[in-house]
Amino acid sequence: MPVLEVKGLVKDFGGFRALWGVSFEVEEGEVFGLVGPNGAGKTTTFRIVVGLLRPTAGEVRVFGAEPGDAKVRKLVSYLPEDAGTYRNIAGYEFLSMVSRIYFGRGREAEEALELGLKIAGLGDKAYEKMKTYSKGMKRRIQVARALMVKPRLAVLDEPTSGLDVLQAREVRELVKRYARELGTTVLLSSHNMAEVEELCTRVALIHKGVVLEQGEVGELLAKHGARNLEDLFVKLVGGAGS
Amino acid sequence: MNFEALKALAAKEFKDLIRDPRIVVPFVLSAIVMPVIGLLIVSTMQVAVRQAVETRTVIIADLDRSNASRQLARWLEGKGFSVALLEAGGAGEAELVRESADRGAQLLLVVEPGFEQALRSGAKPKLKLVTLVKEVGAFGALGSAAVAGAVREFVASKLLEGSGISYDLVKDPAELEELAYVIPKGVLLSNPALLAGLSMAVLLIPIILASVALVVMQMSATAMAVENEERTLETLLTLPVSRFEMLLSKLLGMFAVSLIGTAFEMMGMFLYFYMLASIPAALSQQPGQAMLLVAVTPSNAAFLAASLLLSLFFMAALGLIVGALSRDVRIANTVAGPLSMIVYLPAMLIAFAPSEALGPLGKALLYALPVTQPVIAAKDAIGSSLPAAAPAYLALSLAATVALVYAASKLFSLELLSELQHKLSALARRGKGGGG
Repeated sequence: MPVLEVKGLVKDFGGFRALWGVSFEVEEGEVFGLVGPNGAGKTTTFRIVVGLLRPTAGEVRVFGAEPGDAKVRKLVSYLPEDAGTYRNIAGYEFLSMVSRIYFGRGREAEEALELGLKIAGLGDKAYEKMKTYSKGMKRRIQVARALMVKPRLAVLDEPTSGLDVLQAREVRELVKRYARELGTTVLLSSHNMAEVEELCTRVALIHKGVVLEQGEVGELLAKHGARNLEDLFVKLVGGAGS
Repeated sequence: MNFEALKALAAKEFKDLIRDPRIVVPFVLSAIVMPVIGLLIVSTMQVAVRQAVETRTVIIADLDRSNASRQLARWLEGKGFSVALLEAGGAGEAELVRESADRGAQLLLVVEPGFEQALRSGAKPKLKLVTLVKEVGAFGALGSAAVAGAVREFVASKLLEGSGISYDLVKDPAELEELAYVIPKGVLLSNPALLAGLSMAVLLIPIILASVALVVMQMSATAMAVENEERTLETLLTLPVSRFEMLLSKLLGMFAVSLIGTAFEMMGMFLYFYMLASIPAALSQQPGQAMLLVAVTPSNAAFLAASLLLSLFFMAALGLIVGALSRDVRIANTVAGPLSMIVYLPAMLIAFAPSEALGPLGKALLYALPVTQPVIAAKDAIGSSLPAAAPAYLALSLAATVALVYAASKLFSLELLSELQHKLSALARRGKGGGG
């Protein structure tokens, strides 16, 4: 059974339709990428998947349950795009709070905190208020927060958005390494095609709320005779008459 | 209920707020600034009173040129005033005043012609006492009162000469002790002037309580708006805790901070009030008694504490709703400003209107609402007594607070919040006449 099933997802905001029947599936253990430009519908899809928004039509199943269901909330971790941090809380305190929320007090919580600190890799800086952190450090804390609880599904919305080349590379490495080590299924979005090519086994290309194509990266490139995902996207969008 | 998660989230809320200088500095400042303001008011008032009382230089324009008028000048000198004579000649009143002002005098006493004749015939002699004011102030007349008193004493002594009756007897012919009894408090005051201290408390405490409630609302609105602005709410809403637990943890964290803030404000308020209340007490030379008046009974104090706690919780929930509906801190502050009127206007009404003017229905309404209950209860507890239905009013306030917290918990949905924020923004744009 797939970890995530999205079928014919439609979402309207007032008179504006953001998603036009989006469908895809994510299998256990894979890193799946939802690729598209800004405003394509990636964040809306993710928010529905984690239960923050309700779909107008269509169906979403996460581990066979409704999104946001109490049974699956502990299994899913969500990293929103540009997720902020609390200014006056230290990184350590933030991670400690998350571990207590998920595991209470005890060995499991301690291990989660230890893992979070390891993923964040901030050293002594973890004990300073997060308002003193650089953008890259804040992102590392958020990635650590999302992965430290060993979720079975991590939903990462633009995890490297707004970061410089080196910071983005660090975060990519974290996702790649810990997803593999922890056996976490990852659904991530990005408008950086090269990033997706590096991280993901399968992708869905989305544009204006419509999935244009999906499948294994290599197969898609071969099918459309594209050099890379960017080339493929341009071909698909051109073909879509945009 | 996941108590560990609740504790962790409430601790996060508390730490994030208590470490924020924008939150803490106003609390600490209120504890420091209010007594400083009180001290400034008291000390400047004392200086003004002293200056006015110490006005001892009197210029006398003697138009009578009699033996009696010369005796009056000597009498005033004997009473400790510094007396200077003004050559009046044929000058008019305006010229006399101008000349006295040029000589830097503070008081001009004009002894009109016929002064001695009037004293001899037992009629009222004519005099004029002009206070020359350099700056308009509250205590400018105190100096002239001392001179006028001395003049009256001289005239009365002269009129009473040979009658065997002393001036002191005429001035205060009965051993009359003036007292005041505050009925609802059962306090007997040895000087009715001390009531001024009580009325100061009745006016100030309701207003200060309203200010505390507003600070709490402002703080929770800001804290919640920061969640929106810094984009931390989205993460928070995906954590494995219920909406109600989330809300409760936020309220508890804010509440703990607001209690600390309230303690600071109360400390500042108490010192401020103590200083102001000490003015009439000091003037009447019976210090301490005015402060006794503001003491409330233990049961009233317990009611006030419970009412204030509910009110603070209510205001925190109200602020949370305002903050949740605001995309950023600026919008939250813009909305919280006008909303504060729902507290301030009734507080002013309660502070200044006599209880009877509010009517039984108006009073019941003010007691039933968590926003106004501690304000009116504080006034009644200090100035009179709490109504018999006070416990029922407390229950009503509790119900209103629980209802608001429940309503606020319903707002903890990204979908609903986004929708409401969008609608409010559209409404604001339309209100500005922006059209589309």
